[in-house]
Amino acid sequence: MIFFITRYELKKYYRDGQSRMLVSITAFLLLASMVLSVRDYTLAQDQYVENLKQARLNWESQTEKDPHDAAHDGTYVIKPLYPIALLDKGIHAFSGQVVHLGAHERKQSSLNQAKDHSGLFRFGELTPNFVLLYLFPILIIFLGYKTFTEEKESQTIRLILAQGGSGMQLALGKCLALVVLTLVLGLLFCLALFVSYAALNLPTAEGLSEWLALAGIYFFYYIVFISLTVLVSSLSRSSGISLVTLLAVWIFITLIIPKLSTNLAGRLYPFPTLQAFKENIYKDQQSGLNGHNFWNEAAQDFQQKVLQEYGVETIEELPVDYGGLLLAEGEKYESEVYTKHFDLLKAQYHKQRKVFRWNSLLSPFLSVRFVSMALARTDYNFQWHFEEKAEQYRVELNTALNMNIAENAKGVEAYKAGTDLWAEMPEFHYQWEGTDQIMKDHLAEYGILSLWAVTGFLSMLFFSRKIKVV
Amino acid sequence: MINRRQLIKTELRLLLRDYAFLGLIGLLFFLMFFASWNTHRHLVAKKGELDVQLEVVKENDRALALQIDSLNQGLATYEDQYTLPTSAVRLTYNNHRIAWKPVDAFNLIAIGQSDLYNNYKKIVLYFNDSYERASHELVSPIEQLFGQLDLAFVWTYLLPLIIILVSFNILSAERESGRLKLIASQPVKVAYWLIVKIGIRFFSIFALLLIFTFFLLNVYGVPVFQHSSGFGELISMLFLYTAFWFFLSLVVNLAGYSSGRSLILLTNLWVLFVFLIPSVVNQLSNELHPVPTRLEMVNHHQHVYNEVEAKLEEEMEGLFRLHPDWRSDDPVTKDRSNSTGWNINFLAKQYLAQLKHQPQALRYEEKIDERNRWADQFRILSPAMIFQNAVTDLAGTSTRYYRDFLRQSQEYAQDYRAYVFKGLFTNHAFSSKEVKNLPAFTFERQHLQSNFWPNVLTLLAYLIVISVSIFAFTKTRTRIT
Repeated sequence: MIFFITRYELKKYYRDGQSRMLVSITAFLLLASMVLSVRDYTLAQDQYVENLKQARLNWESQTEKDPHDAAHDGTYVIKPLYPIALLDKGIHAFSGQVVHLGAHERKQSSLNQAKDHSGLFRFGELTPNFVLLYLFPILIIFLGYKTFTEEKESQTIRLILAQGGSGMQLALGKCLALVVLTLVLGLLFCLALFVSYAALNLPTAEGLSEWLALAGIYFFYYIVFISLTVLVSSLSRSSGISLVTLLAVWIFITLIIPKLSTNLAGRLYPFPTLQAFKENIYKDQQSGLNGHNFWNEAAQDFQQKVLQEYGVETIEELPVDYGGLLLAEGEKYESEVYTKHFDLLKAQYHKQRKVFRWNSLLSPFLSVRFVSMALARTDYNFQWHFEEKAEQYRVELNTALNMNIAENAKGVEAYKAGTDLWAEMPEFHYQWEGTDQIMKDHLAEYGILSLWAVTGFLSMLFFSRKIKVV
Repeated sequence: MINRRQLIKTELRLLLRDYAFLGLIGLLFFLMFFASWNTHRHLVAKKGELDVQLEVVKENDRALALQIDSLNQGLATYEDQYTLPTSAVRLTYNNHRIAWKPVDAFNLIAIGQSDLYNNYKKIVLYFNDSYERASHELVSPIEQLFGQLDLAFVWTYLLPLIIILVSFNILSAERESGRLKLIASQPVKVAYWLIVKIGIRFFSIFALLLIFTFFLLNVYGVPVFQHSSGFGELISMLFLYTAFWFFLSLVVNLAGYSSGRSLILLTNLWVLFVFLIPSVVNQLSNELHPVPTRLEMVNHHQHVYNEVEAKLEEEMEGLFRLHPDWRSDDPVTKDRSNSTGWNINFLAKQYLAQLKHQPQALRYEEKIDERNRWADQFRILSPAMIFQNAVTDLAGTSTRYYRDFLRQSQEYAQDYRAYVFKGLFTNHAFSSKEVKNLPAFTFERQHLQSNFWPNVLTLLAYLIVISVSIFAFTKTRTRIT
């Protein structure tokens, strides 16, 4: 009976011009968005490689200079794009593309692409995840809103029930039809995606598990919408009421709750102002080492420690340049202070993140969005991960430059390092965070989404059993 | 013929008894209230950030002036030129300036791009600005991704849906319930009856919207009477945008579809105008008007900086030819072992690199403006885009306003840098009077041409086109069954 209903529903969708048009438009938008995104990704990737090369070239072509001056002039590291990012750009446009690495200071990412766009940008871009997150659920609603009400309005439900069918079978059959349709569209999309990756020789991320995790989260999301659609249709008296209710649910889930969550998270756990953040860092730095301050207490302690280590009485007796050692040690201390304050900021973000997590009990959209961004490495966790690795590299680079002073500047007036030093400095190699870790961090999202899917599905079954024949 | 007044009175009475309509209006006002409250909070935070920054500058200047006075009166001595208060080095490193854009009255209606931009720009002289390093408040990019709930969002996205929900089935519901036959039997044209019915809904919603907007603006301290022209513009745009969706609903009603089909058609149009067209235009602007990544500017600047360093002597000669009044015979300025001499060398490199980089940077900014202008002109494809453009412009929170502010701040930074560097290069001792009267930034609000009339005319054009369709439908017989 269930499969019979499913077959009948699918035939109905096929024969109905309106359904055919809706499915075709969605499929077209999905494919178009993918073609555009693949193009964007390859362009961005080319630019990334080119600019990375140029950045290193700029670093290596510096003239002879004091290595600490080179540290002040600094260099920069550029955020890479993970292959899945072509499906979900996440916060990429909002989070800055480059981190400047200079002496004494840890900086945030800068060059926020969204700033360069007009307000139109806030309407969203036609990307695959825009279609998958917003338009696909609308398609499910449009196809399924009258799945029960139509039977009620035309009284065919009496015939079905009279022939021994139950409300639950009807719901399952109709639900299955929508699942099949979603799967067909999904598979079509996956096929196009893999053809694009293969044809353009794009890197295919970490492995199949990553793609399955991504497909799984979207599948759960659609199961939620399919269950809700059939549920609302089974409870509604007319198709109009069913459609209005479902649209309200869609708006609530995809537009209103995400914005309200943003407001709530920002209100409950606000970030400090830039001034307060800097002042706190400044206060902590005052009590510690600073590579340019030879006289404070921390510098005096460090001097004693160095003298003891080398077994000498005065700085002049040291076999190395004391200034270089102080700069290197000062850099480490300053970085620790920055790490402490950036960690506080990160902790604040994690509190905000919990607000989003709780609110995903009201909107499955939030769970999907966060997991999708995380797997595409375009979420805020990726930004933290990248900035932390960049900071480690900054300390490593500055230590190497300052130690060069310590080793070579002793007794040399206005020491300048030769140009070959720049090329000897290590390069920055970013290692992506593993999928296992990401999945572990997002177990709650999977749990909440599963809860949504199971609750939605069971509610659909429960209420369809008690369907009223009007 | 049925008395027109009687018809209107009856319809009004029916509307007031329609709980679905009242509920939706209630929801709209609740969302407007929440959006205003939220935007107000956002503005208070922005104003707070700005005030803190202005206070820091004021406090630093006050402290510096006092120290100069103490030094001049012989009450204090300074060994190091980094801390010497009369030195331009001290002014350069410790007393930055602020270029700022005030939080405007009408910011309340649209957060726009103000969650991406600061309302201030730190003018710092000791490094190049190709990374926008100094003025970057701490904001979660998740917040920017999802955006804030503001009045512009409620009006652009949700108001059309509410209009659709209160008007999609006016005719079809009557037809489906069989009452339309009864109405048609009365001495009134069905099309006329429908226009009156939708017209009443339109004017009721618009009047309530007007009153509530006026109320909210007043509650949150927007001086509406002082900015009556701005309020007039806002109301005109709201009127036209609301009218557009009601006109569209009227056409779909007149087309004689079933309730479900009318609702699907109208929501499809909503998705088309509010989601699809804007996102397609946005995407196409990137494809057809590509702008290279800003990383190229960073790289270019660094490349130029290396070139300047490599030929510094030659470049310095060029600098003094450009600014003959910066040349000085004071030996302090030549000696790189003291902080003035060292900084002249260091800051001259930065300055020269910035000068050489500037033409490229300006060309890049021009490309961005071109791309944005190109995309903005396609707003005519969607009333939602026109409306959003109009309200963010009116609020002064659109990208072009912020970019104009940054341009003004850059011009100011150039003048200020030239002023301080002249003092630095000539080892000028700054007096407290000079510190108190340092060149200050003034923001000019009226720099940009208003888009109000083009937006009004385009929305009117939409209304005229739909009116023609309405007229065509009224000429045909309305389907009764």
